Amino acid sequence: MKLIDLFAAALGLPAAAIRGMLTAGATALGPELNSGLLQLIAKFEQAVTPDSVAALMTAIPPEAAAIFAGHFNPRRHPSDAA
Amino acid sequence: MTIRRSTWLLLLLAVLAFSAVLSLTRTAHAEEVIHIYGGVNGVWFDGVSPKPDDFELGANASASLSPHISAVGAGYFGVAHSYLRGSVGARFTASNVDDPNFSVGLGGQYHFSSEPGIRPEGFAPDASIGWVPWPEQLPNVSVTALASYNLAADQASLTVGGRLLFGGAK
Repeated sequence: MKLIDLFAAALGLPAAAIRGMLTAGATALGPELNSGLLQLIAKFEQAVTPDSVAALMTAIPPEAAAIFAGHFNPRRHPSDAA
Repeated sequence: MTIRRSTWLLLLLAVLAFSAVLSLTRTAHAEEVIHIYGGVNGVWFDGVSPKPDDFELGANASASLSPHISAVGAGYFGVAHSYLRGSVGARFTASNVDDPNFSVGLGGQYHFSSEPGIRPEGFAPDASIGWVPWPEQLPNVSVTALASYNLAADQASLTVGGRLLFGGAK
């Protein structure tokens, strides 16, 4: 089993859907901005092992990981209202 | 069946929004995370002209999920061309995140429209500026500017507006 299968099962979605969404996001961002996302996709495609899970966690930016863990650290940004 | 790239992007945004809302239900300080604004905009669809191409009335909502990452959305009515448009996406704050009175954001939104010929649908990366000009006297009032480029329609637009934050500035 791959990490993406585990993640997809947790969300209740097919792995192909998650793979398609991530790939579309990488394509939309373009080659200059998508290196981090491509790195994340590559790590998702690894088999589930303690090492691959640890590698995945290092690929997720700490702020994004905190969001998915439900730990918010909000700020007020006027530009968010634009 | 071929699923369009924009559909996948929309699904991704929906999953992210669903995850965020699910997490928000578990937070004790949702009022600090979610901000709702009433707004008025002048809009330039493409090119530069002294007068805006339209004026819009509507509202924005944002969820500040981390110091740099926010989920954003908006719904507006174009007065002159009688259209309704909506957008949902994410924004990354590129300026000092601890300054509540001025910020610069980079991000992207998926746009929906009742009149795609005027306000096209599709994914558009954007850059935004927000400024609270009178933080002591009117902390809920801000001015904003948003430049975006719709990839599907190959259309740039500029939006300049005023915002009123509902529920008090936190």
